[in-house]
Amino acid sequence: MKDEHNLDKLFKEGLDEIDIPFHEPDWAEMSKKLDQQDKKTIFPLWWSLCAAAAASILIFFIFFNTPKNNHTVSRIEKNQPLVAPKNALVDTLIHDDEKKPFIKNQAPIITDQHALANIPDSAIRNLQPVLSKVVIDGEGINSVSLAQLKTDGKLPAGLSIGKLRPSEKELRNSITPNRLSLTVMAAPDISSTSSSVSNKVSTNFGLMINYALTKKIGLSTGVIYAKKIYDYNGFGTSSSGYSAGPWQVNADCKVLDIPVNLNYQVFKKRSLAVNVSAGLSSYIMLNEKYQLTSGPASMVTNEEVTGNKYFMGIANFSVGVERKVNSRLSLGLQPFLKVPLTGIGKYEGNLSSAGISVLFNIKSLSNN
Amino acid sequence: MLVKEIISGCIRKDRASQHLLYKEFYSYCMGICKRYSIGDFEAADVLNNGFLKIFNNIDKYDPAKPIKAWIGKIMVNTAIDHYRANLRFTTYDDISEYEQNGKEAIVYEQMAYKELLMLVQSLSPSYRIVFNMYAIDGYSHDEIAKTLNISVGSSKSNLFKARQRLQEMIRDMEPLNAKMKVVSNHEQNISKNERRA
Repeated sequence: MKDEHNLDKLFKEGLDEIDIPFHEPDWAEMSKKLDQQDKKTIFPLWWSLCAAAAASILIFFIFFNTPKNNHTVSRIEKNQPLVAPKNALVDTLIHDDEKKPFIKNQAPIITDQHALANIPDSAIRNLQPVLSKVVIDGEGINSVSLAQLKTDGKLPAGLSIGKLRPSEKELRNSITPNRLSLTVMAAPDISSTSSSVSNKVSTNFGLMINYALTKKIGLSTGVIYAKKIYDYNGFGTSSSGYSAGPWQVNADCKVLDIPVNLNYQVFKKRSLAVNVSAGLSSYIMLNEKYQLTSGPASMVTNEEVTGNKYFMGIANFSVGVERKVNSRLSLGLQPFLKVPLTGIGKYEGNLSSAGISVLFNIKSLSNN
Repeated sequence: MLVKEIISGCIRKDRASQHLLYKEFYSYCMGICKRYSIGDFEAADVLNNGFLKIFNNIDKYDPAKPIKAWIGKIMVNTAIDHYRANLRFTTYDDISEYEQNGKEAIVYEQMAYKELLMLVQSLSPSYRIVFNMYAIDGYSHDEIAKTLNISVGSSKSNLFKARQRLQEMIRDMEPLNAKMKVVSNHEQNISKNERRA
């Protein structure tokens, strides 16, 4: 036999298949490495979400925020027929029964075009708030004397101060829509890990604030108190210790879920609307209780942990149907899915939740 | 069945399953890493880099093939990558200088793992990697040459020098001398063995 072969054989046999005892700190390092990798995958998602939100805001400002200046003046110039006697101007009057601008008679009734041209723009703008409060009574009138309104501040006969009923276009431009709304939610959900689906229902209660970026896109955040009940199990491989034989963890965790979601309205007809939303949640673990059953004798160990936090560690997805009850209140049903982007809890279970939220959406009370 | 479940857990990136797989193959993988490294610290580094590759690619593992071989292959590749990444001033000699230098052949009795490991770890990185790849992991000189981007001659010369160095060290180890029997057998056809690749 060749000597080199013997040498090779000696090392091959001597170095192969050697039993090296498990060194736990090596796993701790490995675990850190995996955490770092998870963070690397979470952050691009977080940044892309921010970028999407920023892009939405930008699109809103570019395409939806049309300039409002001199709107009234231009209308007046286009609709000169509305102007009747000298120095008179009514643009924003509308008929009480119709939302259309008040045009009793389409034929021009203006008699003095020069008078209109002589009205300074500032005067027209100043007049606007006064005129916007004028409504037509009964048959209505064709025009209002500008001089009359200006001088004595009284309304002519047949006019009264009523509720605000501007034209649709006027409404869009003169009133800022309610951007803020409040949502009270309650949701049952089923929590699951990679190894098992819990047979117990977890509960969630929360308060959310929504801000409409555009008519269709909104941003929402809030606080949800969640009680997560889930099981987790596996099979041990070592000959001794907790991982010998099958083991199971029963977890009961109280969590504060802080979501930041972007909502998009995909459909709206009358009082019904369908929304989709996606976002990220941070979990603040208020209290985690674990019951670990393991080892050959099925030994039960109880553990309690507090204070774990998972920043933007959970992805949220939901589809919601919302029905308007009145101008302020709407009710909604929203099936949702929460997918972890990182290990959650002491045993780093792949804790995901699926459930359905019942929502009460209250629009803010004040108009701007 | 057991390993299958662990693997499917690892595919779902479940940390507990990853822990189980790591523990299960720790000894086997650490064995590979240690002989490719200079010491425990480097070995642990290579081990974790290897496991990171394993966890990230476990969905590509073909369950029809033995998992151990797949893991071992990744671990050896990681060790080779580590060597290449840390390669700075390694020179490779040509076989022609050393082909005729074998003077003694040694028949060894079983040596302790620690001693063998210490000997391998004492080799220079370029000798150690070629010796590991050729003598223990079964690579041919062609494969080694391609993998390490060296000539086949360099691979052979490094193997030759590695063996020579190991023999010298064994001879110098007093307690070990008793365990081995040195025989004069240098007429054996060394070059034939070298060229089996």
